[in-house]
Amino acid sequence: MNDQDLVAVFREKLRALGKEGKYARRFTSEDEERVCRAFAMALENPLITETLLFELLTGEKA
Amino acid sequence: MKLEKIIVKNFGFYREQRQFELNNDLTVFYGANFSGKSTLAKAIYFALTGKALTTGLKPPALASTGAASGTTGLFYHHQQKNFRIYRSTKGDLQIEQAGGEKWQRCAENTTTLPSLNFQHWRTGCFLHEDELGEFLVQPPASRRDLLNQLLGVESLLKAQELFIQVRRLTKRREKTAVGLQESLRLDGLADRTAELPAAKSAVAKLEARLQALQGTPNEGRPDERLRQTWEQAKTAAQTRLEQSQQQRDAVRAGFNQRDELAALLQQSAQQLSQREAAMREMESCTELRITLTNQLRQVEEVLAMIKGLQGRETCPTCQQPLAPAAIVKLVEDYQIKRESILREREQADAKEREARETVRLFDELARKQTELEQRLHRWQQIDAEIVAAQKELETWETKLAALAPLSPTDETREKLQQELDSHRRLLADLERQQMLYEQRRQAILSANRQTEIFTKHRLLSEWAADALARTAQSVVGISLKKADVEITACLKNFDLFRAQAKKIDLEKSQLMPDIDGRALQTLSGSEKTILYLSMKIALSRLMPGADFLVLDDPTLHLDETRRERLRDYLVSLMPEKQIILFTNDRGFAEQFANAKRIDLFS
Repeated sequence: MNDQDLVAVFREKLRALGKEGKYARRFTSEDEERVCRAFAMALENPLITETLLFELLTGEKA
Repeated sequence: MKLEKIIVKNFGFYREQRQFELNNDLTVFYGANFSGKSTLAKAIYFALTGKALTTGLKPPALASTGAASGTTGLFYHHQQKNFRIYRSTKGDLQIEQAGGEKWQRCAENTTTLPSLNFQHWRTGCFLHEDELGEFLVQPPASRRDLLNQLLGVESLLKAQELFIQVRRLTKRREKTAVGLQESLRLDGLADRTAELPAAKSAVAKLEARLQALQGTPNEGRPDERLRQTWEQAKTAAQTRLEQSQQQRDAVRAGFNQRDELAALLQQSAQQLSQREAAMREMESCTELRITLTNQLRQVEEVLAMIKGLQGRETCPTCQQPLAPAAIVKLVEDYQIKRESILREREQADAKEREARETVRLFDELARKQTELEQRLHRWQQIDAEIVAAQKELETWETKLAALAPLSPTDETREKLQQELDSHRRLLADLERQQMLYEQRRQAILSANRQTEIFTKHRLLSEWAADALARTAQSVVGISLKKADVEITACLKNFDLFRAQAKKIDLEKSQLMPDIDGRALQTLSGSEKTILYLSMKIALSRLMPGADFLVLDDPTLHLDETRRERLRDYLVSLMPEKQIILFTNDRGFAEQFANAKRIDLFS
C-alpha cells in the first residue's frame, strides 16, 4: 500500500468520522483537505516536528 | 524474484569454490550432518542482506576457519532481468546485471532487489530452527515492531504517533487557554455606561452655566483693576494681621495682659534693689571669716610655742627660770581662746554661705527680669504692628466699600466652579472605572475567542488522530486478514486445529498465536515447526518480491503422516513459490518426483 492509497483510506475514515458524535458538522471541506495534506506530509517526512505538523493541521502558527 | 545459482568460496563449510544451480520451482539439497546444508542457506541470506542469518553473529565469522575472507555469489532473476551479486565477509559488494553476453556493473539507481530489508527476508523467506527459538524469546513489543515492518506500515504508525503528539499539544494549549479564561472575572468592576451620560450631562450643564456667566458687568468695569489691587492689598494686610496675632500669642504665653508683665517687672525691680545690701552682708561675712582665720592662726602659733616650753626649766631665749604651773595655765587659756575663735569662724562661714546664696538668687532674678523686659519690648512692638495692620485693613475695607458693589454673579461663579470641579472629579472616576471594566471585558472576550480556537484545534487534532487510528487498524487488518486466513488454512491442513471454529489472529496475538488455547511456547516440537512454517508462508504473502522459500530441515520433529502432508503442501505451493529445501532425510527428498535433487552425501 503506497502513500497515496493510505491518504485515500485516511480521507475515507475522516469523512466517516466527521459525521459522527462530537465531530458532526464541526469541520469544513477545507479542514478535511488541510488534515489530509498534513497526513501526507507526515508520511513523506517521518522527522517532521510536531510544531510544524500542528501548523499544517490547523493552518495557524503554533 | 527467483534464485538461479549459489556460489560459495571460503564460506563456512566450503573452503573450495562450489556452485549449485537451482531449479525454478523446487530444489532439494540432501545430505548428512556437517555436509554444508545450513551453510548454503546462510550463504543465500548473506548474499542478499550482508548479514548473518544467525542472530548476533558478525559477517567476518561466516568465513571458513583460517580464511581471511569468505565470498558468496547469488545469481537471480528479478523484474525480468538477470543479476548476480557477490559479497565478501570483509564487506565487499558487487552487483552486476546481464547485458547480452556480458555482465555489467549496476548503476546506483538500478533496482536490483525487491524493496525488502533484512528482517523481511529473514521472516518471509527463511526457515531454520534457530530462528524459531529466537522468535519465542522476543518480547511482545519487538514482535509488534516486526509485524509492522513486515506489513510496511511503519511510516503510517510514525505518522500516527506524530498526530498523537499534536493532539497532546492542542490539549495543553486548550487547557492553558481555559485556565486563563477562568481566571478572568469582573469582580468589583461594574459597567458604568448608564451612569456616564448623566455625569457628562451634569458637567456640560455646569460648564454652560459658567460660560454664561463670563462677560458679566464686573468683567469690563473701569475700576475693576483697582478693586483687584486693593483686594490683594487687603488680603496682604489681613495676612500680616493674622501673623502678628499669632506672634503675640507666642510672646504673651502665660500672661493675659501686657500690664501684668509690667507689674511683675516692677516687683522684681524692687526686689533687686535689696541685692546691694545682700552683697554688703556677704562681703562683711567674708571679712570677718578672714579676720577670725588670722586670729586663729596667731593663737595656734602662740599655743605651739607655749607647748614647746613645757618640760623645760629655763626659757631658751632669756634663760630665765620657768614656772610649769603658769605654763600649764597659759596652755589652757589659749586653748579656750582657740575654740572660741573656731566657733565664731564657723558662724561667720554659715552667714557667708547664706549671703552668697541670696546674691545668687538675686542674679537669677536679674536674668529673668532681662528676659521679661525683652518679651515686654517685643510685645509692645507686635501690638504696634497689629494696630498698624488693623488700620491698614480698615483703610482697604473702607476704600473697597467706597467702590461700586460687586455683581452677585461673581459669587455664583465661584460656587459654580466648585460644583463643576466636584462633578468633573466624579466623571473622571466613572470614566476610569468604565475604562477598567472595558479592558477586563475585552480581555475576557479575547480569552473566550482564544479558547474557542484552541478547542477547535484540539477537536481537529482528535479528529485526525482518531481517523488515523482507524486507518492504521483498517490497513493492518486488511493486510493481516489474508495472512490469518492463510495460516488458519495451513494449520487445518496439518490437522493442528482440533476446534474447527478456531481462527488465528496475528495482530491481536502479535505474531504469537495460541493453538487450541495453548500458548506457542507450550506446543510440541512438530507443532511449533508446522505453526512456524505456516506463519512464514502466510507472512511472505504480505511481501511482494519474496517469491522463494529457503527451508532448512523443515521435517525436524515431524512424524511420517505430517511429513507427507508437508510434502503435499510444499508441492501445492510450487506454482507461486520457488522452494529450496535442505534435509538430511533422503527418503523425504526422494518423495519430490519433479524436484532438482542435489546430493551432498557425495
